[in-house]
Amino acid sequence: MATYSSSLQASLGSKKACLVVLLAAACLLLSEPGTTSPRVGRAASLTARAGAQRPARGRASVPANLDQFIEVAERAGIHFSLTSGGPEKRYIIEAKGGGGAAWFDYNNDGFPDLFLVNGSTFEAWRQGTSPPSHLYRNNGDGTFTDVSKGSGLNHTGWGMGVCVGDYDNDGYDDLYVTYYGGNVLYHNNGNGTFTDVTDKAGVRGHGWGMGCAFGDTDNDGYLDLYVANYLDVDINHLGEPGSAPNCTYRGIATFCGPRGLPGGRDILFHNNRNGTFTDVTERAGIDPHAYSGLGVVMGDYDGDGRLDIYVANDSTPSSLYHNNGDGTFTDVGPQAGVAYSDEGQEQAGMGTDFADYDNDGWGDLVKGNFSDDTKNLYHNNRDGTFTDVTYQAGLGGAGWLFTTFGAKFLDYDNDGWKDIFLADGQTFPQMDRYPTGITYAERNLLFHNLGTQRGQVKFEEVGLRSGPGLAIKKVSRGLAVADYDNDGDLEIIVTNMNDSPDLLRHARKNLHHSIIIKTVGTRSNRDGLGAEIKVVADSLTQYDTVRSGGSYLSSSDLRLHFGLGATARVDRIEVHWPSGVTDVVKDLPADHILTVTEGQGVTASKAFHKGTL
Amino acid sequence: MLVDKISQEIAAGRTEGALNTARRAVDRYPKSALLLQLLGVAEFKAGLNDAARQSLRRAVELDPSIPENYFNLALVDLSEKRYASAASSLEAFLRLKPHSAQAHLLLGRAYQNLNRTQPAIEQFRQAIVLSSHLPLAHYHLGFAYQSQGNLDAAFKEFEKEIKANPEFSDAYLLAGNIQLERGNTEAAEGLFRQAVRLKPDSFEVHYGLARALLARDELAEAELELHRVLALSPGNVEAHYILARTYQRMGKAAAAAQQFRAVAELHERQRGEQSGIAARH
Repeated sequence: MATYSSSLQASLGSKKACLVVLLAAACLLLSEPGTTSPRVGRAASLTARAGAQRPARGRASVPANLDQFIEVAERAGIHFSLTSGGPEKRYIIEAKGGGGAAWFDYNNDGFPDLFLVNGSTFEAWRQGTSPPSHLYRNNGDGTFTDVSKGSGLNHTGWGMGVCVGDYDNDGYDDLYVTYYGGNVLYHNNGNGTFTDVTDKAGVRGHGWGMGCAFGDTDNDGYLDLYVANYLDVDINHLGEPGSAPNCTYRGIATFCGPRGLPGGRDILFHNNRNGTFTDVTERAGIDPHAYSGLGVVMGDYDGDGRLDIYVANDSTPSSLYHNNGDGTFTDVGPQAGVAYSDEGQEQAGMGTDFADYDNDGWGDLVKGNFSDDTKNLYHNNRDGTFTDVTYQAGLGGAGWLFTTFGAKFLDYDNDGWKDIFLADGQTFPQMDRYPTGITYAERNLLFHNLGTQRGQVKFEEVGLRSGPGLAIKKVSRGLAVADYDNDGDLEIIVTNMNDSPDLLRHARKNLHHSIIIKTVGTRSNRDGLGAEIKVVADSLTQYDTVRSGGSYLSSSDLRLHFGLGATARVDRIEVHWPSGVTDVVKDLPADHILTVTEGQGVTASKAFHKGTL
Repeated sequence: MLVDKISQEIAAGRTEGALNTARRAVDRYPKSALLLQLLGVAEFKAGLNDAARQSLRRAVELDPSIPENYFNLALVDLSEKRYASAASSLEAFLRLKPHSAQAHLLLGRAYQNLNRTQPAIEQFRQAIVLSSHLPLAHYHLGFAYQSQGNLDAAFKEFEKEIKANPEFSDAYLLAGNIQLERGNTEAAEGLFRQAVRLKPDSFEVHYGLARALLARDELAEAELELHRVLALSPGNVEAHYILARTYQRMGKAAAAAQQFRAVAELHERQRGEQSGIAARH
């Protein structure tokens, strides 16, 4: 035996031969693709025709990273922490729920105030001790005061989202707040207090409310209300992490859903012009398949003068409800190219926004999605269809590992081209246990619009060059923007799971000019929601729509902001009201907040605050 | 010699003969780690994975200093997607033979499947340092880069793979996807055509080519390619969707609507299959 063993050990040739045999097997094994299929490079294609149509326009040549953001929430008096379940996120409501934020001027003092929706925990929700949401009054000096107590904004529960609109046209913006288990409409009394009028108005809804948006869908001068419902589930009976195939991600045990769980049917409430609403969901043909709705935004994508509705649905096709003009809607999402990824796959749609990023006069769409997927930038082809230009525009690879909830077009550097801010944060804390490159807390992404290059608008992700405020890593959800200090540039509020919000303001900014326009409807709804504004300044022409809701469960300042670059005057402003009225004003100085009243033109003009508050 | 005979039979593909000879040899010399190794190999070749794993483990117990047994164990585990145990065996192998490019490559694959992408990238890099022309090393490194959204780095690796391994279609496919994303449609089409030449029965390469053709406004040819995809992969939702968009561009509204319906039905069916499985009953 000893002799034989020795000869075996000495038989190196045989051992090598053996290894060669198995290396062939190794090659076979290696030729299989990995389990984490990289789909990054598979996007792009149907885009050439859209890009070629766009006019090339000049733009100011200012470095993209001149504008620097810092986080000032605590310093500004925003002492808030968003409660949303426990740290492990064992159930879907803990991970997806909450985070709504709204900028709105509740006391009409000209400074946007801030409302932050609070969530809950299972324990608090079951005991009826959920933490309250908060209203912060803007003091006009860069600070805020918590005025929640005594405001009448008393409802507690597992809060989700919020939208703003003056539903009764009394000149004071009202609030609609969504919850798991029934939503709330607060009427603004005009004296600093609110009254819960939900039942009287008939807008309690049902199920699990998420994103919402006000808009006058029938152009009757009164705001209707769209509410996205997420899932039709009893949160007391959700599966345990890892207990079923759809309770895993990349093979890691996580909370269950949304796949495998029934979706909730969205609701469209029609305003009866008497303080009440009627649920017209069925008649209007809204959400018959009960997709899992999250973000909602309204805009007239096809230029027919009627507000259409886009809903970012989670793990189901997203919906674009074309307004047929007769009280009914048709979901044209698939045909329009905004229901799926550019390859026909359902995506985990979260937040969304509608605005014209390429200044061609047609509103485009941005949508946040899950990690291991692209976000969507849908360019409006002006023929009722969109093209997913995510990769061509430079948003593809940079956002691949991020999970994006808040999504917003904004011109942060006032150069006249709308940029994109994406608020990011994973849903699975379990990801931190694996070195995948995906983390639970994530930084937010800021895509700077570089203007047109060879007929195609390009963006560059500049987050890490835009100051410490953009380097923060948290689990972000809600996102809303406003120029809260009225100095001509936009600030950003980002809400974060089980954490304080980030209030991002410029610590350094460029010398660009801008203008802010507040719309006051007379024949149209008082807020002017749905009004389309065209601003011409020198060689730059921009368009935007006054809109409520959008992003993720949030609502930005209803005033529209237009960067003007180096141009200190505005040649022309056109306001196309939902009523059909058009106001045109000419030759105005930049750096002002203008109030345009329907049929009357500019009725107020106030210069920006000098410097940053 | 028994060892040579078994090795030759394995190399010649006479698996049954190798298995019988190895079994008799192990019966006679049960303490021989090398014979157990060969038996494990023969069993693996015969598809007897559990037996192979057992033989190879016994070989390791008898002589933990033979690196190949760890390697072979890893191969058995990888073939069954047991990535954690495969990684463990490969780590042991590399402690004994740290300069094996192939083992680094396999360990990278195991890590990648264990959601350890960053360590996987390190292993692929190490494999390339040790053997710059190692087949599939650049491909897998590129794949890992791509999964991180780093397309520029991924493309460079796919290019290197094509140079080192010009008959490997998947590298053309993934490189083509990236070229398409960059808007380099002509280059993308060329890469996809190479992939089609090498792997004509793969629906994925025809799909890539269809997308490149669409981007170049070659609608009729794209339509043909998409029909090829659907012939090779019936119910392929992506092909139905792209075909619908193609028909839209061709002005064929009814045909487009039919394809959109197919997309919706396929998704609906998938949702139906998953309905309720995440709820507690």
